[in-house]
Amino acid sequence: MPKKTSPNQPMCVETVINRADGAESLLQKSNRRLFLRLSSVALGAVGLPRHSAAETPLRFASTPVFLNDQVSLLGRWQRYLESRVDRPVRFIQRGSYREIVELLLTNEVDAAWLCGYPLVLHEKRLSALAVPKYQGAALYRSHLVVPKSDTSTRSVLDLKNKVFAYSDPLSNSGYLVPRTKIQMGGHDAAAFFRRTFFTFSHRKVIEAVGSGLADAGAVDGYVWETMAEQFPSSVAGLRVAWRSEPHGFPPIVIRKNWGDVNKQALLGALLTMHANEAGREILQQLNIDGFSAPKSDQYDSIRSMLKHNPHKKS
Amino acid sequence: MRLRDLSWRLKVPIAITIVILITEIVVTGLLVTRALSDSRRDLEYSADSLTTVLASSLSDPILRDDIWHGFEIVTKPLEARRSDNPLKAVVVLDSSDLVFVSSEPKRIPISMPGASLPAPLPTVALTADVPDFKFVLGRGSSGPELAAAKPIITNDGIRIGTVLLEFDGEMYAARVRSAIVDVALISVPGLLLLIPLGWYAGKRLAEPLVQIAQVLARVSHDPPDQVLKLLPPEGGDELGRLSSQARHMLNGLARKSALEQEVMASDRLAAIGRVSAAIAHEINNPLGGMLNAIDTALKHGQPDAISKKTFGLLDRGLQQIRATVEALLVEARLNSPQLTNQDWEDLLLLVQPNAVAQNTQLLWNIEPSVNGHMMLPAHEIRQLILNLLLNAMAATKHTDNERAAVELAVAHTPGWLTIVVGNTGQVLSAERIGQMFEPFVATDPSDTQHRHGLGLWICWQIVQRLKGSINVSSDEQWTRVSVLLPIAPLQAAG
Repeated sequence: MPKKTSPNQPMCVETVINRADGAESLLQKSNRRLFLRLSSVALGAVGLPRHSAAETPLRFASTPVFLNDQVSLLGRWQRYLESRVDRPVRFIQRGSYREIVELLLTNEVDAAWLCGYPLVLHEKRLSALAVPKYQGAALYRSHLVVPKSDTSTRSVLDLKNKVFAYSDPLSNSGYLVPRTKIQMGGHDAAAFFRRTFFTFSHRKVIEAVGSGLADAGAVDGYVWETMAEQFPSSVAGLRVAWRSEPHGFPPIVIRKNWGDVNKQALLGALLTMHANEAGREILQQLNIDGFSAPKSDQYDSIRSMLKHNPHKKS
Repeated sequence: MRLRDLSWRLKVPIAITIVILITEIVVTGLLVTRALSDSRRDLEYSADSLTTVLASSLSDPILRDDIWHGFEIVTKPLEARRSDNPLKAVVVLDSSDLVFVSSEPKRIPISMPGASLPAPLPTVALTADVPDFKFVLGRGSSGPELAAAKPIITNDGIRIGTVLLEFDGEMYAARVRSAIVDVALISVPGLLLLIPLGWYAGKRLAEPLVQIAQVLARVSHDPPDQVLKLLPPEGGDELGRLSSQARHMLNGLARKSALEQEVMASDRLAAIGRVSAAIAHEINNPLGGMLNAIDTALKHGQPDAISKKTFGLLDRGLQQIRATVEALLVEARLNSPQLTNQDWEDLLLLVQPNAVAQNTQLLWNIEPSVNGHMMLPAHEIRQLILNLLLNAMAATKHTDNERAAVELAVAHTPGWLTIVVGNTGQVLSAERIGQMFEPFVATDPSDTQHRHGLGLWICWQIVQRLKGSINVSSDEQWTRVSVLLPIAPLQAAG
């Protein structure tokens, strides 16, 4: 059983979670109903006849990029979703976006919290189900982080021949944004820095810059601010040298070939999270306001950046 | 002061103390050396195992150029180390000897050339072929410098990098100092205990030697019997045997000294005897003539009254001279009968009235073995014993001792007759004993006017003539004259 934790417990611990077997059996026991209970908000009514649902679990993947797991948080979110979608929910953790994308493309998982960049790359087969709202909008920025001792850097273009830390090769804020900036500045992003490396986690980018391993790094502004708020010591000695324009917040992505009923059930569960106590607690720990339905132009900024960064789209 | 003038009372404890100190220094030195080598070996072993683990873990990150993963690997040992672990930094070089990653990127950034690494890392890093494992413990300007290196080798044997460990020399030095202090602290109580013990044992060991030396130093100054008391007890060890030998030597000296005294006294008495005999002879001859002349004059002449009176005076004077001379010179009486039991009874009868008169107890102890005829001249023995008894009576006469006593003890053993005459008078000094038998020497110095006799001189002469020996001993209780006389075997009748 996941351990009980207080609502204000920090959320930025990044380890792979293996769900406890005990939790699964509990879920299976509590979800033996034949009808899937749909969200009252999504369907506009309460008490509608319930649809029959398979006992096959809903498989939800995430990376440490944002979800910084706490066993308790994921466990609560899992239980919350199970109570809403009336079927077992399995959380699957992977170390990189690439692995998550592969799971989605091979139908190994049904939904994932992913970055907008891999969504755009694979938008033929993947779609955004819901977008977290952060500070009132479904937007976030990429931050260029440097040590405070570096007082001169104002842009990534000031970092030529430096050591640079990216978070994930499929991260918008932690890779695409600085690369595009360099390309747009007329440089070859592949040769601009002396050395680059991936940490596969925004938090670790902050650590890499803080330790001096990298001279600078690009991180998700939401992660930076959450850490600055919850772990001030982790960002001590660092400063944000540059903030990007806003981009669509990393969405909850589903594979397009996933059944509509499932989509609607999950969407309803997410969109109503802010409306109940259990959901709010989870949102508070995730440091987001809630979920909203995506707009069609949500990730246009990423699409436009892709023009500067040739990638094969699926 | 020279060392050889120093007393063994100090030399032995000093020697033991020096040995203890040397032992402590050597043992402490060995323990410190051991602690140092253990410390170094421990560090080397842990460095070897750590670099082995790191080299194997870092192979993939280097091959995939995964700096972050490499960083996570190299920072783990530092995060997990204990506070006293001198591990300071882990550095990974790539195949071009540039820094791939280090646990302290600010000090040792990525791509730093191996030659620019802080000392002593270049010494272990830049040997083109770091064999399998290399450990360096050098001395830098600010203390010891320690580093270790191990190549990172792929499964197919290609060297793709080197993992280096840098150690905090100051922390290592502090650890070593702490080990030395620990060893020293162990030694100090031992020293504090051992030195007083060693000093005490040394003094105890040297004491008998010192005593013997002191005794020998006093040999020529003090009487041997006093000196003997100062000797340490005898024993089986060398000092015990030395003490025993010294005792024997001192006893020998005492005996020799006593013998010398006896010989001197005996020689003196013999000389006196010879002089007395010569004088007596020289006096007797004219004396005999003078007495004959007076006798003739008185018998055959017609002396007038004055002449008669004068001759009478001369005769008495000459007779006195003759008596004195005869007393001086005891002559053998060839016709003396053999000693018998009656002689002892006569002696008792002769002295008893004196004893009663002066209230002296008379202890008469003639052993039963003294029985029958003995081949000893009765007159001379009687004279000898009577003189001795009267002399003893005289010795007790002036004492206030209520228990004044005189004893005669006679014993007969085959071939010998032992006569002991004792009295409870004053203790005699050795000097007086030495002069006791000389003629005209007072037995009591306070009584020089009256007691200068020839009694003991006569005794001595009798004993000499009978080829016996005479000895005097004197202590608080008794003064005893012992006479030992050889008895000739009884001649067969006829």
